Amino acid sequence: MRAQRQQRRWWLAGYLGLAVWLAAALPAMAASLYRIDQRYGRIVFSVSSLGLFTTEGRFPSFVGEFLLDVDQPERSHIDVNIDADAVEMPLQEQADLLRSDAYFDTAHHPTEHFVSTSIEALSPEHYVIHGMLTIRGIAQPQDLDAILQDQHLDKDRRLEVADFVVTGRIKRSAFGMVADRIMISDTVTLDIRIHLTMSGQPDGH
Amino acid sequence: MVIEPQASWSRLQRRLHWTMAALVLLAAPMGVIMVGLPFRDLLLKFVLYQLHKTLGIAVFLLVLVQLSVHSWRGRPAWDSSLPAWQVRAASAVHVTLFALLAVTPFVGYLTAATAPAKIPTLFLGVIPVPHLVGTDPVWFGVLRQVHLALAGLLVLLACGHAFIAVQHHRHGKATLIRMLRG
Repeated sequence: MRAQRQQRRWWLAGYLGLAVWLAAALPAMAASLYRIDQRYGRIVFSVSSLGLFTTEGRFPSFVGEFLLDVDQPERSHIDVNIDADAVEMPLQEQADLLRSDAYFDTAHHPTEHFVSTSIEALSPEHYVIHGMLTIRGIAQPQDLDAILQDQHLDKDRRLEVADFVVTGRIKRSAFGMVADRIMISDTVTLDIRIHLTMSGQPDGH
Repeated sequence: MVIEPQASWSRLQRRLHWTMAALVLLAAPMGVIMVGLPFRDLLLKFVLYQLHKTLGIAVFLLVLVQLSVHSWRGRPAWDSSLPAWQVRAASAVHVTLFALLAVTPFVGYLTAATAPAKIPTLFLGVIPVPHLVGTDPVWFGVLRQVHLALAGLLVLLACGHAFIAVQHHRHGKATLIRMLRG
């Protein structure tokens, strides 16, 4: 009898252990790790000049990952590196000016970095990403507004994909970019389109 | 309708002539300077571009006025002592100058409109002039060169025109007096 009771205790402990492990493991399984696919995304920024017209530029080269947990968005995490040296402007001279030490100083700081610190879900499709943005080696807190536009299975590539529109406004002076203050606005508007593809699966392209 | 030759240029014709001459002589070197300015001098570059555009628009409007006045009032008869070939040459230069005064600013406007930078055209720095064509890098590259060539030709012909006028004046034809005082 004692041996049977002992055996029953071991089974009970085993079940409890399994339950605890499942409870811990299941939320993690609900999260999806997406790779940010720059071929289908864009990072566009715009500034106002003398309040008369707007000039747009873009960063065509960036890499990053997005750990998206739909069930618990606050557990999500985003990390993006942007190639500042690849900045594109309507005129080559404008791009050269942005690469100069007065702006991105790409000779010393070739990349910009954004990492989230927390993600706040306002609705299942609307998130506020709190994070740290590093430009010219200066890190500043930065909030971005993200709208999940689409999340579906790409049948051709057999990948789960998600499309986000991310917007935000930064103050360039906070990153030491104070040149041409009369001509160019301090506020830089961001318009980011991100196409996410699930990592860990073969890329169909 | 036959327009009778006038005894001299009217005050309005003379003033339009000298105003356009001054504007062209300002706009041409300004064009060279503004293009050569580095982007680091962003504000000065922008101001010079807007000033250059304003001068160009003013020249375009003034030449239309001048042509209207010419068609309405006519011009003085050519000096009878001039050989026929000189009259023909002078006529050709005048027609070409008028054409260049109208076409060069217009091509300049198209250059600004097709520029990839999408910088607005502001007459007198405040009045927006709509761009009737969109940005086009290929056309911009072509138009920029055409505008430069036309402007060079305009300045060259204007200098030749002025040189000949001074030569006539020195040979007792009082050309400059007539253009200044009527």
